Amino acid sequence: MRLQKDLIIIEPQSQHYEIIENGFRNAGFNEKIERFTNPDQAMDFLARQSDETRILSIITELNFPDSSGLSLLESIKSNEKWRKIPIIVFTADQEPENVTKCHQAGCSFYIVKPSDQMELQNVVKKLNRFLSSIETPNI
Amino acid sequence: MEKNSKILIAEDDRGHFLLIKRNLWLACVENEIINFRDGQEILDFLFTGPHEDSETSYIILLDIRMPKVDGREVLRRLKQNTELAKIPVIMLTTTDDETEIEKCYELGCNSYVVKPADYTKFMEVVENLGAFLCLDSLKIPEIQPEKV
Repeated sequence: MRLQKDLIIIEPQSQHYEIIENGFRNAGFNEKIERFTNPDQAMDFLARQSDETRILSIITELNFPDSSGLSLLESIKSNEKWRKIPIIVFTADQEPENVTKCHQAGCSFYIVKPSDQMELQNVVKKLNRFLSSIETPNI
Repeated sequence: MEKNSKILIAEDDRGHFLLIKRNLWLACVENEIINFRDGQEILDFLFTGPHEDSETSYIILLDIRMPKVDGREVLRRLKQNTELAKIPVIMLTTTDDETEIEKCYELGCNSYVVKPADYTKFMEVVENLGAFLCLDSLKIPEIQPEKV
């Protein structure tokens, strides 16, 4: 039986989310996508999942109105059950210090969201191709 | 990623290394690529150098089954070192065993990619990887070798 792998996207801006989701769908991504607008919602979702759940990756913005993607990253990576989930930071924030902090906290990759819509779609397309090649464990 | 970042490939099979290098190149990867033939070689390089610059950035493609020190042990030692732990490590291996995948993620690998036995699929996987690594948007942290 083929195991479903959910992709979690945490993105506060609806317009950005739509471009990202459309980018994945147009590139042929046919797994389930769970969308959350803040890290707390994603943590609640993870808490409800069984041990058999397989998360392909969490793609998260770094900056939220009331919380931060870095805190989410630290919480997940310090949780015995969830720390194996790959987390990709996908943000407009280009600060090198944040690239270092996120890698120290255990992010898999740090990708800067291009402001140009076409370029953003191109990045999502290549990210989708890469994700189609990776293996992930159960949580 | 930036053109001055180096790609370190720990791969004992010379044929596999050349195929990986060629297909990364076909995917427009222009970064310097350095090959290590076993786990000890890459550990020696990362822990003692020589490193050309006081600040540098690497990404590692790491095979698991290698002579002297296997890839899993290399991963464990890198992720235990505060400075070296920042280097993204992508496991690139023929092993698709679930337990191995789980152990590598527990040890902190950034990604786990299985090399398909089929030649065409193998090339496709490496090209997908290369296209991803070529993204200007992909940011790799700098490390300071003297802090290792």
